[in-house]
Amino acid sequence: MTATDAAGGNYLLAGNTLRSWLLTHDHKRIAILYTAGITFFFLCGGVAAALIRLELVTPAGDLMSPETYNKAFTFHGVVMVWFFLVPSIPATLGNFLLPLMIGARDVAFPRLNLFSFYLYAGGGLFTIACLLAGGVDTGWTFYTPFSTMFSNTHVMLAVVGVFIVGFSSILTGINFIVTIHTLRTRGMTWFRLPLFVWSLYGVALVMVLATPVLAMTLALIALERLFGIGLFDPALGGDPVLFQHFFWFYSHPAVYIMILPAMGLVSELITAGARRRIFGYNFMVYSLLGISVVGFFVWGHHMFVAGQSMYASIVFSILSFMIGVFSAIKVFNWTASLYKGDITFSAWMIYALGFVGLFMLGGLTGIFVAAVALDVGLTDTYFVVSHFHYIMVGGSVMAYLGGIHFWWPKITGRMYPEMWARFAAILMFFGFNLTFFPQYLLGVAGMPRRYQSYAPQFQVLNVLSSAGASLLAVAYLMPLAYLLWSLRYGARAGANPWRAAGLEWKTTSPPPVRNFGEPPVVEGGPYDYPVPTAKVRATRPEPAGP
Amino acid sequence: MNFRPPQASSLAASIDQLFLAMLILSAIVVVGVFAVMLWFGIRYRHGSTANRSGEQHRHLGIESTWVLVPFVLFMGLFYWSTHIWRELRIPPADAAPVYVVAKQWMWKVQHPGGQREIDTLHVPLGQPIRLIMTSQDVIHSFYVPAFRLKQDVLPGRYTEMWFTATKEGTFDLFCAEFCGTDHSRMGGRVVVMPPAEYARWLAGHAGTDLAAQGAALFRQFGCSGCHGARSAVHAPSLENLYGSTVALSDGAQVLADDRYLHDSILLPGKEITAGYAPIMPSFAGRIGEEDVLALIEYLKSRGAEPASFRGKSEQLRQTPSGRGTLGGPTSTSADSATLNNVIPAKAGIHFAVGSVEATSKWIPAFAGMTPSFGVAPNILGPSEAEAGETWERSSPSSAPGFATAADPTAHASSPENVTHQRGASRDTRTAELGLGHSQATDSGGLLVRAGDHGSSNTDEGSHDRD
Repeated sequence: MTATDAAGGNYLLAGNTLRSWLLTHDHKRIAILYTAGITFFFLCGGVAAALIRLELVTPAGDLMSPETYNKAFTFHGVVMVWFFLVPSIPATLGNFLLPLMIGARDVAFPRLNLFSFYLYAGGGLFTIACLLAGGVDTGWTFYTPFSTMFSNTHVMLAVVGVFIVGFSSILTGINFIVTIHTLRTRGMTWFRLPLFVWSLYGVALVMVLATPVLAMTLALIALERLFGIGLFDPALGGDPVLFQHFFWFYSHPAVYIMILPAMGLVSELITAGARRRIFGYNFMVYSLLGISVVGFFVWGHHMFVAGQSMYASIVFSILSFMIGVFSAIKVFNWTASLYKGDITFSAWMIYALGFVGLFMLGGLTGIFVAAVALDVGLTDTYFVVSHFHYIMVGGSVMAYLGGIHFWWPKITGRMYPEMWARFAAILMFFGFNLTFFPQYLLGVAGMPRRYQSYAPQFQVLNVLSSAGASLLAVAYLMPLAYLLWSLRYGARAGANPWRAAGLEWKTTSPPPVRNFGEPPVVEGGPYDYPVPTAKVRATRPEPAGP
Repeated sequence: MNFRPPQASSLAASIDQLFLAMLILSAIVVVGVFAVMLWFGIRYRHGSTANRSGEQHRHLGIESTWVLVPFVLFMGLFYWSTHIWRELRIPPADAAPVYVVAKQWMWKVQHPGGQREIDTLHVPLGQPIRLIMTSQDVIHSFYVPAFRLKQDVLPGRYTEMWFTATKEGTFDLFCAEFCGTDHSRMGGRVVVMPPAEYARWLAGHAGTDLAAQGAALFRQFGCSGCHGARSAVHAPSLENLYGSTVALSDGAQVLADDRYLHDSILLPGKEITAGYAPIMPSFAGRIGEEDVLALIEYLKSRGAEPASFRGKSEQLRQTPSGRGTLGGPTSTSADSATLNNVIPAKAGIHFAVGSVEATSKWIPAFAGMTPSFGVAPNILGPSEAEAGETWERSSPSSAPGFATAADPTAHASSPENVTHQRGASRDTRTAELGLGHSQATDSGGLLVRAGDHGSSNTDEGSHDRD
């Protein structure tokens, strides 16, 4: 207790006023503010998704007007990408855990951290204002000249919202890079960093280098709309495809902003669940950095049929296959990490294994669309929709929820109800597959994306998908309910209920304000689980339940 | 349950083979990884007595294996896919051009012989067809699932897509790039007919051919006032312009292709011919994309003295003019002979002329096209001028401005091919589409222009019911 008191006491009790939360410099509290924000936007985006799936139950567009449908999928995309997925893992779990994992008191720039949260909230306000004003119908991709010359909806509000939230990403990225470079505790060398920290490092680089391009692109849309400068307007000699180059130069790396932290996070979960060192730590690090770097050079694979040169498409195709190699390494290494492990199937481990499976399916279908000849038929169909949902929802969201469960005791000091959590995780896995696997088949059958009404031959698969979506909705609401319940009624957690390696488990749950009493000293690698023997296993207690 | 649409183009089978190969490979990986995960999960579950002894040593060999094996496999797939991609991008030299103009929310098709359709594309079986496409407003995408092909259609630019239909029937046409309110209703159909029947269809729907339409527009818009032979205005001559190399006032050289002509009409200030003042007014907003296509076709005809044009194209082949040179021309005289055999005289003329001229943009070499030139002297033959302009609609009952593919009597060769019907109430909504840039009323205007509209629709109907 004395060490905790010396470090400032339980961070949750360090002040109960609203002011103490809203003006906090504590990375852990800021992480919780972010969590509240992204949960709100996840629910908003989820409602839009529910409307979309409901509309698509019948081939005729009979639930809402085409304008409303177009606004619904645009809102879903904008909110889920920029207000949920991009900040999801880095700004919440990343913010909370990064200083803990490297033995630091806080991030390098605590005020900047708070400021980036308010930028996020400000961007969010514009997006909500856009929705209340009537919405925007361009799709989250804002393709010109539709967005600049033709859409009569509130493009400016949406663009300003995303522009602002982009700066939140940039500031978070800068903060993480500086923190990892300067605040590692004694003995925490680069190759002793947990993979989650490596993934945050990779993602921070991508955020800092790619997001300014998004800001520039959105600013150009605004200028084009306001002053008709003609950059993207063919009537003035502009080129609408130029916009796509700019946009995807950010937005393809943005996919890695969404998935890289998930990869790092799952590495933590699998090692803890199998009580085993990660298989091939170095390869995991290099493949992670490889994805970060090569991810900048594959944007053109979104434009195979957009009118770019045949040769450009060939180059973008081969680079996209390279991403496949890096991803394959990761899947194989996660699987191999289970070998000779001592595996328990806690809810978070189910999420992690589910992540590996869904990410693998999403990655493999990524290879299909990296092959130009196949992409010509499959792009802009539901095949692509399903592919990126497998990566972003099956991948990132599963990982995010797995991480929330795994570190819940650390964050809140409470245990979540294990049985409910396992049930939700399994339901989510099946609900997800039922929602999105039929969408692969829809794409193969030729149904284009962003269709409100469709040919009758696509109905069976759409109904299956909508049925899956309702299961998925239940599975997403369950954690919301039982996790909130556990805040009050959950069993109190010890410092390390999972007996996991990692510095964050060396401090109390919840951690003190300044994280550690004494700055910890690191003497070994990140996943130093004892090699289990038949004798050891008897002494291992079950994880504490509710 | 087979989800795949029928294979209806020459490339569909090879694309599907690649798809199947990747599917099998993926299935092996998925089943393999899941099996191993399951096996480890059971064998090394907490509490099992499995042997866990032994150090976790370095495993460079294993890891290198699963870096190299995917790498080699992926490179193989990349090679395979790229091979198909080249075929897919480079049309055979004898591919017959058909022009497509996309608008919110319809597809307008112009055949070189003057046949016009909306939301329907009639093509002959076994004949390579090259679509030259542009958009009047936003980006659209021409997608025919049964052909496994898709190409974005851009405003201010010509994009191309070629195919050889290999299966008779009616196939879905979708717009695949989000283009606004009625994106999901911007559909249509591609009707693949046996060559003889197609020739009859062409003959039955021939209007003024495209070049002659262009000639009329050339006078109507006053182009001849400056560019005419007796004009007092100092303006570049347009004789033999198409396919030539133009020196610009900034010292650059540019190939006078479709794009150049298009931009010279709509953005005349962009590329000024050396020695001329930039006095040409822009026709942007005054001439629609369909008319620009007709004008270009007319300009081509003014430069299309077979001998001299052929010489130009030989010369152009030496010019490294960007895309389209990777695979080289694949035309054979056999292809051309087929062309002439299957398309009877009247239609054949337009086909041959159009294909030769427009091909030069892509593959400026058509030595194999000589047989087609046999009928070329009739290029400007205005014999069918009296037929007037006719837009064929896929469904005569559709409301103006929005055409559906819903023709309940449409012939289909297999159940999957049935063009889908959408709620009839939809069509009436068009009138309410108050978007500022909506082109909805435009097609109405064009329809008014139609000459023998009623009778040709009847003709078309009878073909469809064959």
